[in-house]
Amino acid sequence: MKRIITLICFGLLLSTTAFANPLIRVEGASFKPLPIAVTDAQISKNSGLKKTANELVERIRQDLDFTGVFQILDPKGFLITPDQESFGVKDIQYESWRNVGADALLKFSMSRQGDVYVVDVYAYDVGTQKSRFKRNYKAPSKMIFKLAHLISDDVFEAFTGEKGVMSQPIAAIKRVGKTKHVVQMDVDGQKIKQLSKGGRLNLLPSYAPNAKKILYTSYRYDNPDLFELDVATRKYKRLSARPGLNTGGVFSPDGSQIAVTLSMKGNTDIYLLSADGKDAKRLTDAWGIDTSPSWSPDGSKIAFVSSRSGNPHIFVMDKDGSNQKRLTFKGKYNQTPRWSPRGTHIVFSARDERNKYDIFLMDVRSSVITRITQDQSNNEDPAFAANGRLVVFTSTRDGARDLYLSNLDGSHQRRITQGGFYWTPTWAPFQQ
Amino acid sequence: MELTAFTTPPTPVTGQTPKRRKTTSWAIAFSAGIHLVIGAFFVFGDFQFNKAIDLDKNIVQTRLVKLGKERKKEWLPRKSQPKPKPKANPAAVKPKPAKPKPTPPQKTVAKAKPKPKTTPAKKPDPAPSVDRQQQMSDALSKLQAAQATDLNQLIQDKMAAEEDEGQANGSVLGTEVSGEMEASYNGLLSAHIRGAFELPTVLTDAERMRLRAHLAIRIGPNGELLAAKVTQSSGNAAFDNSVLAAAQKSVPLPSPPLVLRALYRKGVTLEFCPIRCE
Repeated sequence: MKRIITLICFGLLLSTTAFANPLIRVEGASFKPLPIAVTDAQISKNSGLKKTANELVERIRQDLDFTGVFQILDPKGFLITPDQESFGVKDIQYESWRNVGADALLKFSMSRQGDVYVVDVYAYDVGTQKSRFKRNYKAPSKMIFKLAHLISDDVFEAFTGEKGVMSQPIAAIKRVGKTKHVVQMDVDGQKIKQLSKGGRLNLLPSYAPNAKKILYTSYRYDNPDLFELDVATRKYKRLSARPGLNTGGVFSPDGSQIAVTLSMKGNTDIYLLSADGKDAKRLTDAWGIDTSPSWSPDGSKIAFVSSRSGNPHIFVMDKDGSNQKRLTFKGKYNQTPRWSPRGTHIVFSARDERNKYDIFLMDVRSSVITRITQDQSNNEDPAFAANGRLVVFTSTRDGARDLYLSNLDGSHQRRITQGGFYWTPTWAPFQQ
Repeated sequence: MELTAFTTPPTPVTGQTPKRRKTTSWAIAFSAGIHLVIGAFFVFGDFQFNKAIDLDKNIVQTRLVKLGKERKKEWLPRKSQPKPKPKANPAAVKPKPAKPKPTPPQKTVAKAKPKPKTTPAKKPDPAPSVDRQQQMSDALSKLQAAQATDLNQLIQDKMAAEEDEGQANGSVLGTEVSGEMEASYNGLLSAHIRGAFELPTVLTDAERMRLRAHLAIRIGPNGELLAAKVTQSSGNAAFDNSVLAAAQKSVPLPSPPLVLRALYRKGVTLEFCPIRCE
C-alpha cells in the first residue's frame, strides 16, 4: 500500500512540475535618457539678473545634455512659468510636469549679494513626487559660468550616484598656425587655453593622476622628446631625450612610473620610466613596433599596440612586461587603446573593411567588440571621461577635425569644438 | 500494567462489521487504482501539454538569428541600422511643375511640322531642336532633383540597404547576427517585448549588472495582455515600472500557437535583465 501511495504522490508531483510556468528571459534593454525639465531661474523683478540667470541655466542645460544621461525638454512646451510655482515638495504641480513628458524637474532661484551670486538648486522626481536634490551655491561674478559645470556635476551625481565630469577639462593637440600645440578646454569646448609654447610640433598629451601636469612629446629640440608640463604655470620640463622616439608617455595610476614608447635600441618598444624620466626598463622586445601604452586603472596591466602579428593590433601585458597577450583579432589597423577608468573596457580606433577609421569598444573580460561610430567619415583618438561613461574622440564628419563626445553605446554623439583641427584628446582624471 | 497494555492486541475502536470493513477496503483500493491511472496518464501519456514543456526547455535559451548576409569573421562589427523609411521623394515631386514649361514648344512643333516640307533647306528641322530642348529640360529637372535630394540621406540609405547582415536562414524578426537557430513562440515573445524594454540611462553600471525582475503575464489567444504583475521585484521601483511598461507597450503580443493557448492563458513568467541574465 505504501508503495502505491508513493507512486501516486510521485506521479502527481511530476505532473505538477510539468505544468509549472516557463521562465522566459528578456535581456538587453535599450537605454533612454531621462527626460528632465530644466526651468528658467526664478529671480526678483528689477534685479537685473535676467540675462545672467538665463545664460547660467542655458549652460546647465547644455552640460546636462552633454552627459548623455538626460534628455533636456524644450522649455517652450512647459505649462508652468517659474513664478507660478514655489520650491516646496508639495508645491510642485507634478501632473503638469508629467504632461510635458518630464520624469525629473530642475528648478533654480537666483539673487545677488554685492559681487556674489547666490543660486539655489532644487531637483525633483516627478514620478515619485519626491525631492532628489537641494543645494545652495555662492559664486563671485567672475566664476558664475564655472558654477554651471559644478551644478551640472552635482545634479548628475544626485540622479546617477556617480561623479559628473563637466568640471573636468579636456586637453588635446590643436593646429595653431603652422604647428600643433597642447591646449586645454572646458568640456563644452569653451575657454580654450594654449599650454605649450614655441614654434615646434607637439604631440600626444596625457594627464598626470592629479590632473595638474601633462606629459607630451615635443620636437622643441628637434628630436621627439618627452616633456612634462605644469598646467597652472605652463612651465615645461624635459623628462626623456633618449635617441629616437620618446612618445606616448602615460603616468601610472599612482603617478610613480611612466610607460612610454622609446626606440633608443633600434626597435620601437614600450619602456617603463620612473616619474622623473630615469631608469628605463624595457617591457616589450618583440619583432615589430610596440607603441601607445595605456594603464589599467589598478596599475597592474598595460594595453598597447603591436604590429608583431603583421597588422597593428591591441595587446595587453602585465606591468613588468610578462604575460603579453593579443586582444583583437578583427580589423586591420587597430590603434590608440585607452583603458576605461572602471577597468571593464578598452576603447580604440580601427580601420574597417571600408577603409574608414571608427571607434570601437572592447569588453576586457569577454573580448567582445562593439562599435561606437559608423558611416560618419573618420573617427579616431578616443579617450574616456573620468567616470567612464563618455568617450571623447576626433571626427572629420563635419569637414574639419573636431572633438566629439559619445555614450559608450554610440548614442548621443555631440560636437564640442567648432571648426578646428584637433588630435589625441585626453580627459582630466578626478583629482586624487 | 504498562507492558500488558502494549502486548494486548488492539481492540476495535468502532463497532464495524466485517462486511463494512470489506467495502471500505474496496473503496480504498478503487481510489488508489484511479489515482494510479491518473498518475500514469500524466507521467507516461503522450499529449500536448507535455510537448509544450519539452519545447519550453529548448526555448528558454533561444536567440532569434537575423536574416541577412553573413559577415566575415575577421571584419570588425557593424551597428545594425533601422531600414530607411519609405518617404515621398521631394525630388520626384519638385520637378513636376517644371514639366509644363517644355510643352508650349511641342504645340509649335505640331504647327511647324509642315514647314520643313516647304523650306527644308533654309530652316533646320525644328523637331530635333525640340527634342534637344526636351532633353535639356529633362536634364535640368534631374539636376534640380539631385540638388533637392539630401545627398547624405542617399548615402545613409545606401549604407543602410547594405546593412542586412545576419544569416541566410535567419528570421526577419531576429535581433542577433549569430546564435541558435531554433525559432519558437517564446523566442518571438522575448524579442517582441525586448523592443519595448527601455531603461533610463541614469542606472549605474552596477545596477545594470545586478537588477532582475520577474513579471508574470497572461496572454489571450489573439495576443491580448490579459494580466501583468511583477512577481519578483528588483528592489528598484523605476526598473519594475519599466518592466511592466515593456509588457504593456508590446500589446498586441504575438498570438500563441493553437496547442499552447491554454498554457499562455494560464500564465508565463518573464525574467527581465538590463543586459544579460547570466
